[in-house]
Amino acid sequence: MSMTRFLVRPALLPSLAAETRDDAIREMVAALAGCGAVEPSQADDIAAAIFRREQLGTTGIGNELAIPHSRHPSVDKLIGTLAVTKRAGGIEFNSHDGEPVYAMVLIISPQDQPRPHLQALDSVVAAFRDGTLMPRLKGCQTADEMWEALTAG
Amino acid sequence: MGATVVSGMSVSRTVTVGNAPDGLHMRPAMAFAKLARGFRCTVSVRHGDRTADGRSQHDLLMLIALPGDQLELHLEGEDADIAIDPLVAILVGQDD
Repeated sequence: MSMTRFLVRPALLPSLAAETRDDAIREMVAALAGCGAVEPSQADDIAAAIFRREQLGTTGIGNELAIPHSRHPSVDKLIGTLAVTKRAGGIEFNSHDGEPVYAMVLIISPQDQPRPHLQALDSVVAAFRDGTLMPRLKGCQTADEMWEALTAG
Repeated sequence: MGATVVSGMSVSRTVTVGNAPDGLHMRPAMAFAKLARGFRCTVSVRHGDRTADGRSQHDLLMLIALPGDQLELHLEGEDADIAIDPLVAILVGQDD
């Protein structure tokens, strides 16, 4: 699976305004709500579910990447968005390697579909694995440029 | 939990992934990798045609191991016999 199978193109964020983990998550969920990928009325509840998941253990998996995620009953298929911060110090995510995060892939999945969830995690890890995608994404100014970076590889 | 094969300083075991709803997802993968890094032995985990370095959460996530799937663990090194049980416990006993 490619990340582009589940990422919602108009919700990609090349330059987050958020300066904290929680605000970044809120901004990404709002982007999904803003383009109709999730119900706007559910945005707060989705963000809360993702916060609860982060409390169980960080999804900052190292190498400047985090994959905040949760199941939520309001979605009927797995969707996600990708955001990059241009902040010099990145965003503190309590990552395993102790380093800040510069890219976040946020995933919302239906309640009872573990296979797409694992496939999505696999696609994220695989996409960032060789270290070339992160700097390309950092250089993007628009969602379209991000999409091109994702599909170029 | 499958049969254990011990040979010299290597231990192999076939394990069925526990019945948690999400299989080998991010948290158990992280816990497994962290535990594996605490031992001196090498830890490989195979699922079908994919093999992961058990010390790498990233590798483990790429196995796409769902509840009920069978994984083959292979440990090599002086503490392989000590490491095998707690590592298997994470795979079979994972909660959500």
